[in-house]
Order: sequence, then structure tokens, then C-alpha cells
Amino acid sequence: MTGKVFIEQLKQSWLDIFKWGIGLAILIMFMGAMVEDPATLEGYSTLINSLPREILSAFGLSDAALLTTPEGFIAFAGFTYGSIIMAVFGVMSGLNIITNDEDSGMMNIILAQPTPRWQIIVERFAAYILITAGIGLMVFAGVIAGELIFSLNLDLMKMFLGSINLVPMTLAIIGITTLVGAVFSNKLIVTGISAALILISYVINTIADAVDTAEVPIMGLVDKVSVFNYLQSESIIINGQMNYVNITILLVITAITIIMSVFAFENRDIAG
Amino acid sequence: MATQSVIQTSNLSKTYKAFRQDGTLALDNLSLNVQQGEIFGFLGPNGAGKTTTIRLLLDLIRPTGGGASIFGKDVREHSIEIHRNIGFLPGELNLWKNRTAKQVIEYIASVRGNESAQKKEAGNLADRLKFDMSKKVSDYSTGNKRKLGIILALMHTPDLLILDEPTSGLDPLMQQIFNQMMNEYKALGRTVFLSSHVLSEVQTICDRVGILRDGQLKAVETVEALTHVEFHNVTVTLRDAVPQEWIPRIQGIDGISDVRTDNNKLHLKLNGDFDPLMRAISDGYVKELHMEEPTLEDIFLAFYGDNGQKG
Repeated sequence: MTGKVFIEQLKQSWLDIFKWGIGLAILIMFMGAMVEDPATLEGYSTLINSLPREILSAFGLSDAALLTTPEGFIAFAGFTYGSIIMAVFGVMSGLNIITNDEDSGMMNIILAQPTPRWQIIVERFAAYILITAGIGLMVFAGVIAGELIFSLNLDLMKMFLGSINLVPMTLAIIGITTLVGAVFSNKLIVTGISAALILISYVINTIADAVDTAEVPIMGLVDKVSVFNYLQSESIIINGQMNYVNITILLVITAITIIMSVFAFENRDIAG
Repeated sequence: MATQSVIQTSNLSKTYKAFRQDGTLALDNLSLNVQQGEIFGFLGPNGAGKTTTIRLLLDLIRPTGGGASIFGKDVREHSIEIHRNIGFLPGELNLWKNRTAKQVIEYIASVRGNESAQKKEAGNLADRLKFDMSKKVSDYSTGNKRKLGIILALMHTPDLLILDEPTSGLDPLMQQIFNQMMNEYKALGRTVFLSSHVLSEVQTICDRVGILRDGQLKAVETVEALTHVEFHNVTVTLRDAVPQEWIPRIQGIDGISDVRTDNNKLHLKLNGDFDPLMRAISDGYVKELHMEEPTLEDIFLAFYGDNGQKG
């Protein structure tokens, strides 16, 4: 029955929207509290300005002047930390698509029903698209709450785009974890590989940001394999619009990993 | 009424391959035929390949050789169609712990379709098994989880039940109800394929029994034939040491074999009546008489000898 797996996944995981969303919203509000006082923001910017360019880049910051605006500070601090939290959410959600049920033995019951394997992956992933988008909206709700509580006078459109910008990267991480889970049946291996891939991806992005890619061109190429390279919350705050090429790349990665997951899962034994 | 083959396997084989290791042959050229309307017991010690066979039939794992069909359809190509008409109970039932039994039942019913009829049947089964559906899965005892598994397997009244060690964890009263349910199922012309390592379980309800050992099907027998070779492991505990002059006397009794002594204990296998044995030891003081059901291995050896050839 088409749609049943999707609905069941939503029933089981809808609370994630609030668990993760509220956590991230609180983080953003906390950032709001920090930027409430312009003097603090100015002092922080001066401190950051005194750091070498490589260090700034390593933290994903190309221009310290960005930190003088509330949007810039929230984008830098809130969305950068937010992306790490969303990466963790992505791995945990990816594990929910195949691995956790296979590890517990529940997958045996599910697949003994008239439910094709592809349907498990596709419908559960579809449910996570909604859940992840819900978390993105909760993050924006945190921004609005911060705006109201601390009277920040933020550019809400930029903040909205910054919040939603976390979604494609998270979906790509869910896709990657699902693919690892479709290939391997051991939960420890799946968790280890997925976490390692995300960690390596983050480290590559951090190093690539710290070095001058004109001097070390290879880093520019290597950075292309990092999902964090396509996040770029900072540019949304500077330009006021999303980088649609990056979003497309992340969505293509997501689609490819889900298609490959279906193929891999269709052709392997289910752990007993 | 002509009987149809419901499950058919032909040289079905499965080798589990591990990284950088030679594969483990779990099932070796299994050719089996289960007829419509019978309760077929799949008997074998742990690790014999029973669960592997069931998982192959359900397309949870893929064969490394041979093939299988259910209702005349290939289990791989037509798995979805076949699963609509199968009730499955795994040996180890793991369900979503944070969901109630009712929620799990509703989900499985929704996946299969015709929800209302299934929910009604689930209610009837729950009443019969004295099962409370309102609790969370994590709050159920092993026996209650088993009951939930039985409800999930039976609530859509499938034509074929595939049950892996179905009564493990059930109390004797519930085992009796379960047996009754299986017989009712059979009376409706439906088929049951159940695995077990407990001889008494298959003896009670099965029509035929397949004996599996080391991944190989050694025999398919009727329950009557299996019962015919039934014997008991008997231990007689005496107050004093077992007199050595008893040994040839006991060994000479028809139906007694494998006589061993251990100080004041006398061990033997008895196939037949107790009376000749009691007479033979009547001049001793018997403190205790202990009788055990034969193990599967005992039955197998009695049937086929150590080399697996029928004697």
C-alpha cells in the first residue's frame, strides 16, 4: 500500500521536528542574545579582525566585517553550529531508514509484508524531507523569537533563506547514511563509516577554507567532495539570495544516493 | 480433493560469505515439498538451517543455488504477491519498542490492506490469547510478545503460515490454545510450515516432519513414523552402587540400549515398556527414576545412524 510507510515514518518521527528544531531555535536565540548589545558585537568583530586570515577562513568566515551585523553574526555562529547539529541529525535519521530496523530485527517483519524494499527507502526518505524542512522552519521560528525578545531588527528574509539553506545539506547527509546502510548490514559499521565520512567532509571543508586555493589548487578540488562546501550560509547573508547551483548539487547528491541505496538494498541479504 | 504443492524448493542452497573467509554452508541442496492443508514441521537442532530456509522462502536473503516457489510462484520474482497471503512469525520477534501493540497491528494491517477485517480478527485473536493490546511493546513479557507475533501472523487469515519456533516462550495453556488454532487452520484447508527443535511440539500438531541436520534435509517422515522410534533416556538412581551382574541382564532386554553405569546411577535408552526393566532391577533399592525425552540428535542417530544413512 503506497504511502503507508511514509505515514508510519511521520508518526514515529514527527516529534524530531520539535526535539531538534527547538534545540536549534534555542541556539539561534542564544546568538540573538549575544548580538543584542551592539558594543559586544563591535568588540567581538575587533577581536576577530585581529586573527590571521587563515584562522578566519578555517572558521568559515571570509570577512570579519560580517560579524558587525546581527544577521552576519547569526549566520556565522548560528548557522555554522547549526550545520554541525543538522549533520548529526542527518546521520541519525539516515540510520532510521534501514539500519536501525535491520539491527533490531524489525526489518524482517516489515519485509515479510507486501512491501517492496524500494518503498521502505523512498517513503521513509520522503518523510524525512518533511521532517527536515520542519526543523528548518523551527530554526526560522527561533530567529523570529530572538528578533521579538531582543529587538534585533534582523533582515528576516535573509534569515529565512539561511534557515532553509540547512535543509538540502541535511538531506544529502541522510542520503549518504542511507546508502551506507543499504550496502552494509552491521549498525556499527554503518554508523562508523557515515560519521567518518561527515567528519572528513567537515575537516576537508575547514582546511580548504583556511588555505589559499590559488596557491594549493588541489584543495579547491578536494573541497568539492565536501557537502559542507555547498552550504555557504555566509553568502546568503552577504548577497541576500541562495546559491541555487550549490542547492542543486546537494539535491543531485541526495537523489543519486537514494537511487543507489534502492539498488544496493534490493540486492543484498537482510541481516537475521 | 487433489492436494497442491504450496511450498516447493529445488536444490535450495545458501552459503554465507564473510569478508576474507571461506563461506559457511548453511543450507545444502534442499528439495522439499509442502502440500496444501498440511502442518509441516521442520525439525532440527539449532544451527541446522531452519531459519535460513524460512528467510530464503520470505526473500529476506537470496539463495546461492537452487530456487523456491510458494503457491507455484518464484519467491524472488513474486515476493510481494506471495507475501500478501503469508503469515510470518520470526523466531525472535523484535518490534518498535515505543509503539503499542495496537499501533503495530494497525500499521501492519494498513500495509496489507483490508484494515477493518484484519483489526476485527486481531481483536478476536487477542481475546482468545488473553492479550492486552494497549501496552507498549517494551512492556510485554517474552510470552506476550509471542502472542503479539501470532496475532500479526494470523490476523489477515493467510493461506500459508510460516512460523519459526512458534511456541517458545508460551506457557503450556497458551501452547494448547496455539495448537488448537493450528488445527482449526488446517481444517480450513490452509497450510502451516513451522520450524522447531522440540520434538514434542511437532509431534502434537504436525502431519509430516522434515529433519534437517547440518544444512541438509535428512528425511521427511510422517509423525507416526517418527513416534515409532521414540525412546526415552532413563536414569535409575540406586541407594547403593549398581551391581555389575545387572549389566548383562539389562542389556539382554529388548528395547534397551546404551547401558552405562556411574557409581549408583544406571543410564540407558529405553524403547518400549518399563516393566521388563523394573523386573530386572527389582532386587535393588531404587531411590529415583528419571526419564527424559530424547534429544533431536538421539532421534536422528536412532533413525539414521551416525553417518546419516537410514538403518
